[in-house]
Amino acid sequence: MADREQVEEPVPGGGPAAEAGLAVVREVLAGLPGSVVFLRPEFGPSGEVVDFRIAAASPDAVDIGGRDGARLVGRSVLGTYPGIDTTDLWRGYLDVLATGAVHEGELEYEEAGAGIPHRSRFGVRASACQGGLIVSWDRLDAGEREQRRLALMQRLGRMGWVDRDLVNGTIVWSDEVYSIFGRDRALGPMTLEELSARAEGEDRAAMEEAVRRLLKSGEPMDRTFGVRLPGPEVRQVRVVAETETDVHGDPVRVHGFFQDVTTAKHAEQLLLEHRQAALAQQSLLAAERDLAARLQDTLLPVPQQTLELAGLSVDVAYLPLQKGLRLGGDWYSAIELPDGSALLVVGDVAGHGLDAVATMALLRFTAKGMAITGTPLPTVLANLNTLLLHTPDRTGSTATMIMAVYQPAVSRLTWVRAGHPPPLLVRDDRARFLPTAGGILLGATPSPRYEASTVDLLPGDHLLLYTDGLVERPNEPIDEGLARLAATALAHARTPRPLDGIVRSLVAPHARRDDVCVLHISR
Amino acid sequence: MSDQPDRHDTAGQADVRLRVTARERAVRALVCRLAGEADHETRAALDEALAEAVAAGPDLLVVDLAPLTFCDSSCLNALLRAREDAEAAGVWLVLAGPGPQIRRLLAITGTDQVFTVRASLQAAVGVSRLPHG
Repeated sequence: MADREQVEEPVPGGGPAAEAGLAVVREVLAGLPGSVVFLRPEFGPSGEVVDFRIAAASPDAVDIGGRDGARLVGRSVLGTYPGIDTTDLWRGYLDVLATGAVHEGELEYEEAGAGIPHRSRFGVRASACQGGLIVSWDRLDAGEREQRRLALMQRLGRMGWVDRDLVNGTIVWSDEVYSIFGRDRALGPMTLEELSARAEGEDRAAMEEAVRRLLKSGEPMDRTFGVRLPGPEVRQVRVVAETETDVHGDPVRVHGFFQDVTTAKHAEQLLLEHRQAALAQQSLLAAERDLAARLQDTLLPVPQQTLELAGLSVDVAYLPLQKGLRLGGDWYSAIELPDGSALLVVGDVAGHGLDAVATMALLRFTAKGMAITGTPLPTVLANLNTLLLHTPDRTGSTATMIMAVYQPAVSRLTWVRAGHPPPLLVRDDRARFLPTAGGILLGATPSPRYEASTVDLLPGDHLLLYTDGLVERPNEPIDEGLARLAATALAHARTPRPLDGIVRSLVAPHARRDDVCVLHISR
Repeated sequence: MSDQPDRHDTAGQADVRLRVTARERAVRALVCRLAGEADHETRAALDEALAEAVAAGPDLLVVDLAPLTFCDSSCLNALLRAREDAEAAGVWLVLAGPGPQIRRLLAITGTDQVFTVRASLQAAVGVSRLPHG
């Protein structure tokens, strides 16, 4: 775009009369608002109009390029707006010149320069004057954009406005208000008095009072009320209204907004309910934790210190999978029997959760009872097996266990095994799994056979009884886990608290799939 | 005409001490293939599938364990349960092709004494023992 265009004083075919006319037009234009210019035609060799020159402009005139009145004067129209001669507007200009008719049209203009709106729409008016054209224009799309924005805002904000003339009684509602009240447009708007009469329950009295005060003394109102729509739905609507008053202070106009705040109210309600539920949940959880702790103390207390029984030192590690419950299907016993021998048991009920705990408790207490009353170990297992088979339980409980009795007088450990991983003996820098008589896990078959095995414990021996949670890893044959246990036990044998080291090495806190229970026995 | 049969006459006379009859009998085998990981979470599905297989009433139910990568105590319990159900229904249950992990589990728990285990699916299906009754 040639901004450095030559500005000539145009006198195509004028004389003193034309100049006088131009002077008047200039004076008139100088007092007009908006964008108005005076165009004078320029003629070609055959007398046809080839261009227009901007001879005068109103002070506020601004074109699409943002150029103001002063800079427009003297410019060639075709030069400033190339391609304009192909538009309807140009044809309109020529028509006005020829016939004196008034041209009103729209111009959509596309400019390629940077920083100028790519496409803009104008309403343009051209009329004949003094051998030239008076052209005025107005930006259309800005106003339209504003309108669209306003409509969108109302829709998104679920908001609409109301305007009421109290003198002649006319009320205007914007479209959105009809939508808020679910009212057919054909029925027209309602007054605030009519609306407050429809308010739900307790809201009504307060609404009617507020409306009364608004209309009588112009007191602004801002209230939310429930209004029953046609149908069962009750919508929460907020109304904000104020008045314009006359010289006496009496309200003559009401301006207001309605907003549908139903969802906000619902959200508030939901939030409140959730908070209450959360608080209830919290106290329930606290109560559960308390119960779990007391249950554990009753069913399976875990000692913090080393136990000394019958000449043996026993350490216990108990790590149930479900922390909250503090109990699982694994259990242990380590007590001194009436005859001075030590009972050492490690067991594992299949599964987790409360069912497993219940079965565990049954087995633990029954085994203990039988041991105290001197039942031979294989018989104990057979009896526990029968117990499990006759427990009414859809999922069919099974359990594995090792039950051992240590007689200090002869330093002999006698034990039986039901489907359980073998005991590990660490002696003189060697770790080996003790060969055990076979025995099927409890609860699988009605007539299992159990046989006792024995080993004599020497001073300095370490013995580990454990559940498979200590040695099992997914996608790994159990033999690898057993080998790992043997190596770890050996590595920690000479440390002050071997069990701590073993558990730390083998139990990955974040990858656990099972309860873990370990007895570390040393002589 | 003598009533006494000639003992040297082998043309199917009376006084036959051993009667051999051969009868064709189809043995219906159902193979239930377990693939993936069987643990506490999949227990219910496993129970259901095995129960269905037993209820279908085959002569032989082979549980193909070769594609099973993980089997814990709940999986074992499901198999034990299936074994009980099968016995009650007159179905012969065979575990086929358990991998080393499962073989060790069966050994440690002593359940290899109560299950019929075959090294492969072929060996299992080839079990030539006919059902009684």
